[in-house]
Amino acid sequence: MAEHMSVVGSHQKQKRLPGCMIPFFGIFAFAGFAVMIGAGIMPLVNGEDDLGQAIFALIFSLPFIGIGAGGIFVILRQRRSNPLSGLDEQAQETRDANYNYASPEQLGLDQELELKASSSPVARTIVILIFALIWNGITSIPIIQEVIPGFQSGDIDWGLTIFMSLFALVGLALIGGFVYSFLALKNPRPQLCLHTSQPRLGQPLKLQMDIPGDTHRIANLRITIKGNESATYRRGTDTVTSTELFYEADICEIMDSVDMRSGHFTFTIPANLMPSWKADNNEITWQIELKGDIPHWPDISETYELTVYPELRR
Amino acid sequence: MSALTLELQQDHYEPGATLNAGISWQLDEAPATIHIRIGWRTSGIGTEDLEVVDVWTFDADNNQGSQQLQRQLPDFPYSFTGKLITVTWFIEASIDSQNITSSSDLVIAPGEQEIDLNNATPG
Repeated sequence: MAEHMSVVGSHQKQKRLPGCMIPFFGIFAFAGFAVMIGAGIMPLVNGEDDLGQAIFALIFSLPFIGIGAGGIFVILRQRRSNPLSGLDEQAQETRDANYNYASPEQLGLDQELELKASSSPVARTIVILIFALIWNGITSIPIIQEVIPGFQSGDIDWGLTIFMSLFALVGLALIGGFVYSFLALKNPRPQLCLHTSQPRLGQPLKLQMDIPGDTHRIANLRITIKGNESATYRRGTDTVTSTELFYEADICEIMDSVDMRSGHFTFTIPANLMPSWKADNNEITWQIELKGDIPHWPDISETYELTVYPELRR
Repeated sequence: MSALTLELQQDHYEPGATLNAGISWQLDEAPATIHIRIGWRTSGIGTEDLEVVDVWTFDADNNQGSQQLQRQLPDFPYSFTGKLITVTWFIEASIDSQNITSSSDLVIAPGEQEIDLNNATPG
């Protein structure tokens, strides 16, 4: 039986590429291979004259293949390796906390914890933009070279047209996604801060919220705390992760835009639940979710990962 | 026929509490080395994770005998059960050379009660 290391969540979390990025990198690699074979290798095999264009296509395709294959390799490799090694320190800290006097340092009261959103809106917009440019750039080649001339000459290849329409629809959705994400950049950026760097089960937690900028457009603001189980398993050749919510509670709900500018709220995660915990294939995670409804505009939606520690027992 | 028996005074513990157990053996071949392992494993929809967190050994010089065990248990992870994941602690005694094993499940959690995530959501 294979043995896996157990790991407890830590504030010094390493940056890891999430598994959901595999399709993204897969499309990168697939697009690169498609260009390499379609515009590089096939013309060379067929003995077509334009050698320069074929070589350009081969060189052009290499970065895509490299990024795609490299990204998938990194994700698969980090899954095999033990991501963190905080168990011993965490176990010792918990033991100290349980059996000795709990100092302010152990309580984490010596420093505040500024919560970071899981993804930056700017980074998200740039990623969507790059992906949309690459996708639409590649899919536009056969559309411009084959489909449009076919319509112009009346010699329409319906098979190719329908096939390329599917790719074009995805491209349009990506453009839509970019526009949505770009408009959302104008939204106010909430700042959340916990009074302790070590939030624990059963401990009253004070959350400070500040929203600089224009809050009067926000019709409703809601902050919730959520606990999730995540389990990863193999299904055929795929690696699948299932997630199940086991706890959800409102921290606050605000309707008045003036009150949204700043406020502090107290909440407690029940002591009879699981703190954050991570093994190779199974995980307990906690998140604070902030949602702001803006009529006729992209909403505010941010998720903040939270490492929750075991309850202090004296 | 060889036999190895683990007897626990209790099987529910506070994190970090002291385990008290007895082990007795009746062996066809002696001497033998008895391994004691304490660890946890997951069960549920996900691929199993398993970790042995404490291992110690002692020699059984005679064909028949017994020994009292006293060991501080680990603090974490707590025993819990959810919709997708269950974490179960175990103690296992084995004589690897003779392929004899005896094991027992433990609960290590605050209040000596396994944490149940299935009915955690308020309201």
